Amino acid sequence: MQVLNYTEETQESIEEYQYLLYKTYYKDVFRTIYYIVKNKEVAKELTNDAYLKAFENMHSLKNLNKVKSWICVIASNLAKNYMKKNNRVISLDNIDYISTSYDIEDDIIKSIEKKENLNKLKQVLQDLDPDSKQIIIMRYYKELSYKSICEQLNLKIGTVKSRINRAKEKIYNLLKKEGDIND
Amino acid sequence: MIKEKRDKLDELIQNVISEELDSIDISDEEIELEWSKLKQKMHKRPRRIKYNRTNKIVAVILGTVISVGLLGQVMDNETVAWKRNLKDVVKIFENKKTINNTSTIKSEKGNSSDETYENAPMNMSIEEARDIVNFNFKTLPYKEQNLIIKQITENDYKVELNYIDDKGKIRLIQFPEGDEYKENINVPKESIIEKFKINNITYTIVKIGDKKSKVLWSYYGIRNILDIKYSIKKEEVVEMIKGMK
Repeated sequence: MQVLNYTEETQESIEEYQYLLYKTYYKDVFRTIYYIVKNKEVAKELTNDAYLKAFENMHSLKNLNKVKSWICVIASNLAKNYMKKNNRVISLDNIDYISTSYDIEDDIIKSIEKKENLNKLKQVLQDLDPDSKQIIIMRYYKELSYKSICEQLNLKIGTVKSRINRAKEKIYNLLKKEGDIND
Repeated sequence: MIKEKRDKLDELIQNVISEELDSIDISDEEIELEWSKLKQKMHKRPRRIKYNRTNKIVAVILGTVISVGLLGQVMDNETVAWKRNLKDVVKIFENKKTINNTSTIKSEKGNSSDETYENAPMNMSIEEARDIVNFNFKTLPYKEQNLIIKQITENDYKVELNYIDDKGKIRLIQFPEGDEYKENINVPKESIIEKFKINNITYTIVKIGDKKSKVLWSYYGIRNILDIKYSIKKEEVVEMIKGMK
């Protein structure tokens, strides 16, 4: 078992621990950003920005057990802002929402299960706006509870749930649209 | 049936996202290179990063948690709680003495003692609760007064359903037991305890005087407790249990 002697507060010691944090969670943070921006170099730069911001604001972290998801939220916010700033946001709000009866959902789900259509689902997820992507990553990849997502994004639970449902509706509608195009 | 379809889509989204995100890779060499770039950036702006006492303490604690965790403790499925240790570490660190992180506390599943979770109960509807709670909780066929959920561990919640029937109030509590669940209930000496089985599940009725009853049982890892504000007969309990859905 390790015994730490910390008789002198030096910048080098702090940097050692920061490096440990950096190395341990780098891939998770990088993946979160890359999924939104889809550019490796930009993702690397934003990952560093996320860590910089995290180190600067470490004092505001309330729950040390949630450091990974905390840094990932900082990262996804940076990625979202990058996309918006660089006008790379495809607004999907103009798509007409077809009221989804469960019969239509059933057909769509069955069609998704076919391997070729999984690729369509991948593409559809890619085409989501950054806000939806962020919340989808938190819910489905990080497997965070609604409550955790609320805390991290400082949103009400109803808002989080409705954003996820809207994202899922967008997925349905986009898949239906893809299906129409390919028919 | 509808919930199953929703779950299927959730599963598909999860699989696609996980597959795609897990396939994104970056080499250790690239990570090292990026770290050196970040270090340069940090050195260029030393005043921006507040190397105050709090930041230092947090960085050291996190580093300690991660480095000890990487010694093989963190990758197993058990949760390691550093609650008591963290307080000791901070106290010792502030006095600039040696930090001994030899002891760890393993949190037991099913215990609600983990203070890192905000335990504020939440009022909500049954549908909302079903979206949050990760087990299929049951309901009684009575007039529902309210539903409260309370987080007991990172992923587990306790569900409390309050009802009123023509005889009095009924509370149904359900929560995941966890691997090492233990329970002691203190009741007055004169209480009557009766056990019976339905479909291989053992139910315990505790009659506390003539004004209160308690029924306890476990069903596939979910602990169920019925708090009834009147004295109830076994036949009525059986009817109640059969009416649960």
